[in-house]
Amino acid sequence: MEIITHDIIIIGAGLAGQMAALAASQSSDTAIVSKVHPIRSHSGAAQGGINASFGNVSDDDWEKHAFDTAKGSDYLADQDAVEILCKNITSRIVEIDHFGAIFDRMPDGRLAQRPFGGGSFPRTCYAGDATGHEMLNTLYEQLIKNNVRVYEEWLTTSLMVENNEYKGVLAINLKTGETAYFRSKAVIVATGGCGRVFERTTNSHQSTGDGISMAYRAGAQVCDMEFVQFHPTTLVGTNILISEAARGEGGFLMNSENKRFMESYAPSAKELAPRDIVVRSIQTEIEKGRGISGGEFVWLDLTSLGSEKLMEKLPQVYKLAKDFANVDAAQDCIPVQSAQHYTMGGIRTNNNCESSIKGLLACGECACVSVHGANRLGGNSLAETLVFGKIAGERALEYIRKKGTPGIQREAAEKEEERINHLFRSGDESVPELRKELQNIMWERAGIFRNESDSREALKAVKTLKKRYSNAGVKDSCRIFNTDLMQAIELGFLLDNAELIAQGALLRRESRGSHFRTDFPQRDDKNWLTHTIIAFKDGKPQVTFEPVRITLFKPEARKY
Amino acid sequence: MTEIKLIIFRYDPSKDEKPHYETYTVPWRQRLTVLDALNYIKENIDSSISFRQGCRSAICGSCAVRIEKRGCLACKTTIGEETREITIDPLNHYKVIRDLVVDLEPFYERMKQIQPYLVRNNTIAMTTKEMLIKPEDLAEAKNLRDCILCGSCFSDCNTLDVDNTFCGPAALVKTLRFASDPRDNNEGRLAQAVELGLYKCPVDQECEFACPKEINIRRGAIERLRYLAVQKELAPLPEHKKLINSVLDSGGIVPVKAKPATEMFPEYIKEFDGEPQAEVLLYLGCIINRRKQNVAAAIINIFQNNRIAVHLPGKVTCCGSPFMRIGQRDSMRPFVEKNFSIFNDYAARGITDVVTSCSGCNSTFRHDFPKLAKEFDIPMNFRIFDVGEYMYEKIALNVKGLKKTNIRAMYHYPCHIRASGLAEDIYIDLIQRIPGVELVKVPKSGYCCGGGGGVRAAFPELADRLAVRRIEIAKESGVDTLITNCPFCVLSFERVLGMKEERGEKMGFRIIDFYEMFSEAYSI
Ligand SMILES: Cc1cc2nc3c(=O)[nH]c(=O)nc-3n(C[C@H](O)[C@H](O)[C@H](O)COP(=O)(O)OP(=O)(O)OC[C@H]3O[C@@H](n4cnc5c(N)ncnc54)[C@H](O)[C@@H]3O)c2cc1C
Ligand code: SF4
Ligand code: SF4
Ligand code: FES
Repeated sequence: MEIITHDIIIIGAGLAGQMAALAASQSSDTAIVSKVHPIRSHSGAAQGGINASFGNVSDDDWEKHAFDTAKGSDYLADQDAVEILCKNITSRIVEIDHFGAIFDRMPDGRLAQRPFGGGSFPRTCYAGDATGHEMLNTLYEQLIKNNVRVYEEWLTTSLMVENNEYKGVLAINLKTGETAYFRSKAVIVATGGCGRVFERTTNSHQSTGDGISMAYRAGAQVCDMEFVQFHPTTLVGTNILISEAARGEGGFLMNSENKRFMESYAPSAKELAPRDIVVRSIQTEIEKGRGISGGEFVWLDLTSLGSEKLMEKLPQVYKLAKDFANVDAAQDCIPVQSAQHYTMGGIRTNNNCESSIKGLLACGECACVSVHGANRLGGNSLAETLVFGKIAGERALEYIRKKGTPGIQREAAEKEEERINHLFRSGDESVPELRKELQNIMWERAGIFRNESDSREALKAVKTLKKRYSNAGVKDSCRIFNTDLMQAIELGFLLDNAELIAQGALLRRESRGSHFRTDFPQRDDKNWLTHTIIAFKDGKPQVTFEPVRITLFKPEARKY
Repeated sequence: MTEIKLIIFRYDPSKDEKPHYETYTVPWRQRLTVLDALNYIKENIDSSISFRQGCRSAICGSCAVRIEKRGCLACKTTIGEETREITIDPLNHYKVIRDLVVDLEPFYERMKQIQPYLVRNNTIAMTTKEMLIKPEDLAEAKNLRDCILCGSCFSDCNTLDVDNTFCGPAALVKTLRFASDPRDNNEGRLAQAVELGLYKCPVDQECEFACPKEINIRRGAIERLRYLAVQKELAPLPEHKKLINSVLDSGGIVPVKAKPATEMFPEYIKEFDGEPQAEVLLYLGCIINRRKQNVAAAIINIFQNNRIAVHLPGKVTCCGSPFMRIGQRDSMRPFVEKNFSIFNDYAARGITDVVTSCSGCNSTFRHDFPKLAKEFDIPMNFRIFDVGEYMYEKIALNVKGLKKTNIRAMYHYPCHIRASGLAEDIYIDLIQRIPGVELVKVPKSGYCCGGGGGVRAAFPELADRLAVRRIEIAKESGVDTLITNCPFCVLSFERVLGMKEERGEKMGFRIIDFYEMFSEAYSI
């Protein structure tokens, strides 16, 4: 097995990973390992924008941003982490603006800001409706400029940890099929979310929760996985996202009776209530038979914006509707339904992005610091990638200062190689079949509305699927660019993520943010102002609870 | 149930000596995309098929392949119910890693050549505030930022087929993205673009047809960069200056050697009895007027056979296309003024249809002149047509008793005809009205003759290689004749055929001018 040595390895080349790499590579030998070329990372799909309290449009400041974030999180976010996010994000945006990102501007040359769900002011900076694309390109340009080493199209499969200390990463070079051992003093996991656990998701095929699963297997604490954000407006069928910016710019939602139903669920914020609320409202309308033609969707009406504003502010939305739903949004309503969108939970870290394993840091969607709590506000996750990506990179630099290059975990590495080889030999369970079953069950039983028996059933089903997975085989025997193998490995990751979600959903007997239990429809601050922490120890998951850090704002009823 | 056949390029370098195609049958459903179909195959028929995918929403650029030989995104290509068969290949100009997965390294490398990042003279310290930039100053860069680096344009680029030192379209788009950013301090970008092949592109627009993000690569980036290069006196290239001087001296890009057609024919031609079906102003363009008088005669003959009276003004001047194509937009005024004032004069007399016989003139009149005319405040009281378009769409074409010609050929679709928004099928249909003609089609019709964009003047060998390649593509399809309707294309092909003959190489290949052929069919 080839051994590759660097000071710091960053797994993932989305915004979080690239930001971390830019910081870490300033004074160390840093390399990124990513299963896709950096520019193909799912961050590029982010549309609507990034929150920062520049106050260009209104009288805003970091505290107001923090308040909205904490309230939006249904008070499950750790408020000291939220403070870091909201205080630092303006500088991060200034930085990326200086790197060359083309954010939309106001006539006087300052950054434009648009309203977004759950924000009390227009606070969302944007680049049309391709903000992630713009930012990802800009950071990638900086990677090129700074000559950062990227191992692109390398799939990491496991983290080597000994005595709760990180030692290395194993990865398969997809182009050759060969496995290599990456040895480094520290690793930053930035592998994104696990949207593909669900049948309906806005996420890329790549969003399979690899890092969360790898860290979990290695013994790290994973936090709040039951909090899964569903997005209200995705195209029927493909579940391609129609950005919240569509509502921010003035679009509204209508049911089969042509009624703007959000008026009765969130009388003042209406369509711009936080996502969990809008999602449940849509789902309630559908369940009451007020979906369009009795079906599983409602209308998103953008016709009142006029085609000029549509083209100027939402060109991608316009094209997506045209190309993927055959709807001319300037003339007709877009049929939309809710779908999984964001993973609030993840690898538990402290405010310096350090996990419970020494030398293992995490940032971005795969991490849980936690700034999003029970419900992320639109525009806050791009913010998180920049702020905590940079912190992770800087912290890793500090950590490695006193570290020597670790030894090689030969035995563990060989065991991992054997596990991969086993996939080529195993039985006749089919990977796509298992994946489909998993996605269905999770959507049905661990989706927007949950209850005790559904959660129990989901957990049981996932465990059964895990057993069957050990019998799943890769039919394609060629090692070169074997996407069959890649999908089999990813399914293994998905199963862990699903188990963690189902387990959390079962445990949490209350409703908070995105987690809604019909059998416990109220928020319960007395018992549940806590994070759900699950760690894999001694061959099984161990659950603990950790109190939320409330430093700024006392929890209060969440009304919009 | 409707079924679709997918014919897919397969190659496993660990086993296969060479690639082969495999056919899979996939059930059709509403809004089925090519990526859906590939996933269907992978999940249900053959799990070994390899392709890249990601966002499935046309933003990550992973899934670029060639469908019917043209680069595009699999996730953005919907399969219509009437489709029976689709051929899917990996992108061109890259090494195949496996099946539909290619190594995009050459594309990324070219991109890296141009310093694809904002370059600042770091004199301005990072402040706590964003830079103040007026939205209008970022407008151009903003328009160019949509590129998702999918590599489709690079796959389909004509020039790259014969010259791999060319940086390719996306790198030029990226160059302008930075060159037009007021924050960028790299003054060398335009010179570098010229260096990396800005003028090697015949502006055939093939890249633009491939681009899934609908980036205006040709006019919005390549020709714009040329314009800026001219402003900075980095261009035109010395050879272009000669060409330009010839136009300024003689009013056309080819010198007057024989009597021009406008002098061979009267100003007004109506050689039939009775009322004309229509009256048109015929603008020949310098090549036909000065070199291809036979074609002029043929067009006039076609019009006479269709009872169309022709006005052939002698005083018109060059369409200015060569200036436009190499970036000398600022020299266009006299051409617009002179030609349009003549056209407007005729329009005042009721002759409002201006018909051009050269596709280069046509697309210049159609695309560039209206904007320029607006700037110069010149009215446009007439409409522009191509001769073929006029035959096809404006009149009841007389096809009675057309003489049979037994011929098997391929139609060469000129890029300027395409740029004018005229469908290939118009010309294919017209050609097929002549009895006895059998046309062979190539799936991708955008192959270039090498004659456009000033390439012939500045890089004659490159232009020749393009022309030869076009001929070879036809030969590979088993035909020995190209029919076309652009005098630039005809000249390009004739030139390389002539050179080959001179060197004693027997090409056994013919170029036929569409109008001559059609006119011939009338002569019974
Ligand atoms: C459609 C859409 C629109 C969105 N719009 C917005 C918005 O407007 N505003 C906002 O704030 N947020 C938005 N979000 C959320 C936001 O885009 C993401 O949360 C954020 O970009 C995540 O970035 P990341 O760097 O953590 O992960 P990602 O961008 O997902 O990157 C993950 C990286 O990890 C790599 N990786 C994963 N697994 C492995 C492995 N096993 N081995 C090696 N590499 C691996 C991948 O290759 C990739 O490079 C949106 C999300 C979606 C899906
Ligand atoms: S116009 Fe043709 S030659 Fe020029 S860059 Fe595009 S494809 Fe290449
Ligand atoms: S210019 Fe268009 S075709 Fe070329 S890489 Fe960019 S998006 Fe793809
Ligand atoms: S899958 Fe991302 S562009 Fe097609």
